[in-house]
Amino acid sequence: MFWDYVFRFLQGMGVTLELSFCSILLALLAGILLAVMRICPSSPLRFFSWSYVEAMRATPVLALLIMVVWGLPKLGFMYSEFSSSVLALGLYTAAWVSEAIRAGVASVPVGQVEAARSIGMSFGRILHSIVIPQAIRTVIPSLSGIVIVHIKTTSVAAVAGVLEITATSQIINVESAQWLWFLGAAASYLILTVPTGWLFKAIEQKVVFVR
Amino acid sequence: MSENVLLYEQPGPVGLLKNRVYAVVGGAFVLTLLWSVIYRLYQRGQFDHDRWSVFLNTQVWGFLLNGLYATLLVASISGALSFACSVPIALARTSETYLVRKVAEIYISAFRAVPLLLLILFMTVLLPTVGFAWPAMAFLVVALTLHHSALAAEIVRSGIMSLERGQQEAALSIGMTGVQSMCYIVLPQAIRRMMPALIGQLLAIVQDTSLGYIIPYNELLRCSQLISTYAPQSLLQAAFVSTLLYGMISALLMIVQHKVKTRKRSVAK
Amino acid sequence: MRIANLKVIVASLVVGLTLAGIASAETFPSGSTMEAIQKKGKVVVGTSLDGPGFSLLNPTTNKAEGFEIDLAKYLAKRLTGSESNVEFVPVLSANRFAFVQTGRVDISLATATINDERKKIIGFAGPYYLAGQDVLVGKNSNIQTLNDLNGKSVCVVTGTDSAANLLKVAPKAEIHSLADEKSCAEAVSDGRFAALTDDGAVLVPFVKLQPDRVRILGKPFTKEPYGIVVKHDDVQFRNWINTELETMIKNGEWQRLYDKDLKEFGAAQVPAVERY
Repeated sequence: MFWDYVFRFLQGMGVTLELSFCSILLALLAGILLAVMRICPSSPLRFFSWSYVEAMRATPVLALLIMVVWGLPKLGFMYSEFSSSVLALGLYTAAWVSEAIRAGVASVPVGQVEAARSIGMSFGRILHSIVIPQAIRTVIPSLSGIVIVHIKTTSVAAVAGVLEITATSQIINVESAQWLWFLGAAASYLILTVPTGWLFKAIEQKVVFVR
Repeated sequence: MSENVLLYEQPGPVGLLKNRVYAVVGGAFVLTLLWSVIYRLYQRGQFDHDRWSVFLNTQVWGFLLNGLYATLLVASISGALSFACSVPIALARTSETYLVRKVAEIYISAFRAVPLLLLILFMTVLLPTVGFAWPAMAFLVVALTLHHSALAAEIVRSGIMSLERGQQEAALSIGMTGVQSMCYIVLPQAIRRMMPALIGQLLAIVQDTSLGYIIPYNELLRCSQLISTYAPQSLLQAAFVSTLLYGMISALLMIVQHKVKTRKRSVAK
Repeated sequence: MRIANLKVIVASLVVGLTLAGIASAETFPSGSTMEAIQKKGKVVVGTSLDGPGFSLLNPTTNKAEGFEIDLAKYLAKRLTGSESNVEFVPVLSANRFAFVQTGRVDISLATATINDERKKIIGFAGPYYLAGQDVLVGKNSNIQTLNDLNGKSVCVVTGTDSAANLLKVAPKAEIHSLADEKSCAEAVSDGRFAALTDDGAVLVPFVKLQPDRVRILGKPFTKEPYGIVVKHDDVQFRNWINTELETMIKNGEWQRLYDKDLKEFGAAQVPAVERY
């Protein structure tokens, strides 16, 4: 019986990992898109990106999850609760990612861009050679924080029925009335977030060059 | 947004024309996206009268506003407690005594690492078995306080560290004790600097009260879902209305945060 | 003599009424849960507040209503003298037993099925209602029998024994577990899951509210007697509640409450209180 619980628990960890990975991927892609929209010449797109970020900041994750998970089937998209949760969580974190990227771009000293323009570099060239390499220095640490918080935010998917760590430990607790499983759940979140922090530190070393 | 102007040349006449085209295309794209979502919802009858009619009832609004009141109550109590606890914890974290510092570090790491939902579930299950038969609101407040005091302590700590050492040294040199220099010189400035971030924390607390859905506690989100039990055709509508209410509170807090940020900039440091 | 008689009559009336007043607040054996509740002045009841017909918090009146609510009020009246000395604590299926075990609530009236497994950890008084587990499917679904559920996605509520019961008759059904009945019912009516399995009594309100989207198979495959949840070793309290239930059934009060709250749930099956 005990080993059955352990097995289900490990399954829950796998689901959390899958959920986090997919939704972070979505968040990064959408976040980059939003950040680009934020600084592009078209003002409706800028406005859309700004209002999207503000809306996500003003909405609780749980409310968003409920609306997406129960709303999509009503729109005709019969996604599983896993996919809907990935969508909801990814869209939520995309706002934070886009803010981090924007802050990174803004951290590049203005003088650099002015100098680049004065020697005739185009917009794309400036982004590619000047802005992005230096912005990364600020963006990667922020992203690391965002990803770690995101992994913990995936715990709300338990409400949607996704059998990740929190949901599994609650179900096991209902069946066996042993609350030690919650400690195990806390430990497994640590097991997931601490190596993620190390991973980002390693990425930082590789990608960020200190001037 | 000044970087927009700097990232590319000041547009000439052709550039302006191009920009206008981009604006129109971009606007059209965004509008089409929104329109398709709204139209889809309309097609599926989500705007039908019978789905929204439950909100024409003032009693139902009274019920929702009760939930809003519960949310605000929990948020303000947890906010005040978190802030009150965060200062001693931040001070402990910067203390010179190894033991005190380590304990604070462990507290902060522990409550930052555990997801809030898990903490709430854990407390609701564990504490009653050791004798704390509290009402649901108490568990929610305690869990929120534990978690957010750790986060707020980090903010206060970074505020303290951001203050130049000279301030503390000057205070000590005129004969203030360490404690006095902390209370009268360092902390007020640190907290004032970190006000926008702390208000951001309060915003996060307001949103995290929605996790009381699980306990269950009748805060705003749960009240809206109870309405949808009474009228299941309005499930989406109820969630949307409660999201709007959350949005209004968050907007208020964000305006306050913005005001504090800009006022700080205008006042000479 | 007449004045003296009058005084005697008045005095005895006063004394008699006072005694009657004291006597109607029943005295309970000392040390019993009933006495403790009476001293406390109110009964704390765990209930779902989320199940139409049985226990629902009506948002238009902000009052709890339903069969279980009325039962709780009746017990409160018998314990403390007034129906309004009752506090309803919302519970989920996942914690309705734990709340009683830890003393957070005095009793739980949350459509809890009596079974032997559960009798090991908590006590049941009753049953107060006889239900059977049934299946809710989409209106146009082609599921007709329990066997059709094999291989289909079926939704259950966390903390109930619905999944275990279903797997006995349809072992290949794919189980998804959500936090409450309403979420499951919405998911089925949207087509996200093929079916929801839970006690028929819980499913009926969903069909009533959305008859064009869902239907019930109508073939209950288990017996689900609902019991009032009390602490495991509180035999005294359990017996007292059982006596009260028997009285209610005998004097028609049970039937009256049934007709008031559960009329649309079909013909009443009068339960026989089980003492163990």
